Amino acid sequence: MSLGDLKNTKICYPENETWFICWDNTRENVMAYGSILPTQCMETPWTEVDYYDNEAEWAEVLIENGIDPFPPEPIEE
Amino acid sequence: MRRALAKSLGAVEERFVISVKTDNAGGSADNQFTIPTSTTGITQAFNYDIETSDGQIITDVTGNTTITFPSAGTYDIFVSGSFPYMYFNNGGDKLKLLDIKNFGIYALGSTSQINAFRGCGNMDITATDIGHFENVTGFGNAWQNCLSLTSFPLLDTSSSTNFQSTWAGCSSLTSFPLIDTSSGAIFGNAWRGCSSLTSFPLLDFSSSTAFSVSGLGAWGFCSSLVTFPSNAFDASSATNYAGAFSSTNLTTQSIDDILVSLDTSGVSNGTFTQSGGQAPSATGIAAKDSLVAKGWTITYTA
Repeated sequence: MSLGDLKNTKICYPENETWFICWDNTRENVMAYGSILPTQCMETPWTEVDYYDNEAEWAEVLIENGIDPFPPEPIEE
Repeated sequence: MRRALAKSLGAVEERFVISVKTDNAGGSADNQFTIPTSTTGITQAFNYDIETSDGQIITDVTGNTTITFPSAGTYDIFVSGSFPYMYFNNGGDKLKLLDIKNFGIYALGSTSQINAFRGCGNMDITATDIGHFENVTGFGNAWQNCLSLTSFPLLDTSSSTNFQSTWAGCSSLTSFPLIDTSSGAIFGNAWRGCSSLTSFPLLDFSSSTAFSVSGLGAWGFCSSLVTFPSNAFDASSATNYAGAFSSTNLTTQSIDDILVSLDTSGVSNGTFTQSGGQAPSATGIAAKDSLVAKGWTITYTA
C-alpha cells in the first residue's frame, strides 16, 4: 500500500494530553510517535494509529518496539 | 621553551585570556583553579605558558595544571603557546570560570570542541576576537548549559558537521549570531531550552540531516521564540523535526514560513512538532496538507 492509498488520520483538541503511535500498515514498524495537547492537532497519512491517555502505557509499547521515548540527555564523546 | 608572555602596548592580544573566581564550587581548593585539557581531536600538542594577574608565570605546561593563588578571589589567566582544547565536560572547576575575555591562540590545532565548556554555568564571553575554530568539525555539547551566557561571538564554525546539543540550556542567550553552519548535518537539541531567544537568524541548513535527537528538538522549549526566518529549511534533507518547535511562541507568520519551507524542501516521510504560540494560517495549513500527502506526521498548534 502506498501513501497515496492511505486516508489521513487527524485528531484535534483532545480533552487531555493524548499520546499516539503511528504504525505502518503491517503494524510491525513504528512510523511516528508523540503526544497531542488540547491546543494541538496531529495529522498523519498513516491509518494505523493507537492513542493512549496513559503515558506509561504508551512508553511501554514503544520500549517493546525498541524505542526509548525518555532517553537520557544525549552526551557526545 | 619560553615565549613572550607579556602583551606589549598596542599589540593585538594573541593570548587566550580567561577570568576565574577561585572560591566558586569546584574540584580544586578555594584558592586554586585547574585548567582542564583534552587531547582528543587535537593536531598539535599542548605546550603552553601561563601568566596570572597576580604575577605568577608558569612555563612549558603540556596538559592539565592547577594554579594556586595566594588567596581566594577573582583572577585573570593569560595562556600563550599551543592550547587547542579546554575540556570541562560538566565537571572540575566549571563554575569557577567567569569569562572568556580573549580567544587568541585558543583552538588552533583542534578539530573537536565536544563538551569543551559544557556546564560552565557562570561563564559569559566578552571576547571580541574569534580564535581559531576554523578546523573544528564537532561542537557537540560545547556550550551546553552555559546558563549565564548572554551572547555568542561570531566564531568560524564553517567546518563543523555536528552541532548536537551545542547551546542547549543556554537560557540567558538573548540573541544568536549569523554563524556559518553550511557544513552542519546534526542539529538535534542544539538550542533546546534557550528560553530567552526571541528571534533566530537565517542560518545555512543546506547540509542538515536532523533537527531532533531522541525526541529532543532543536528549538524545543525556546519559550520566548517568536520569530523564525522564512526559507530556513528550503535546502535541507532532514526528516526528523520531532519536538523541533515544541513549547515555543511562534507567530502565525513564522509557523507558516517554517511549514512552507519544509514543503519546499521536497523531503518525504518526516515528523514535525510545534506546540505553543500561534496556529498556522491557511498558507501554513496548505503546506501542512502537502507535507502530510508526502508522508509527514505533523503536530501543530491549532
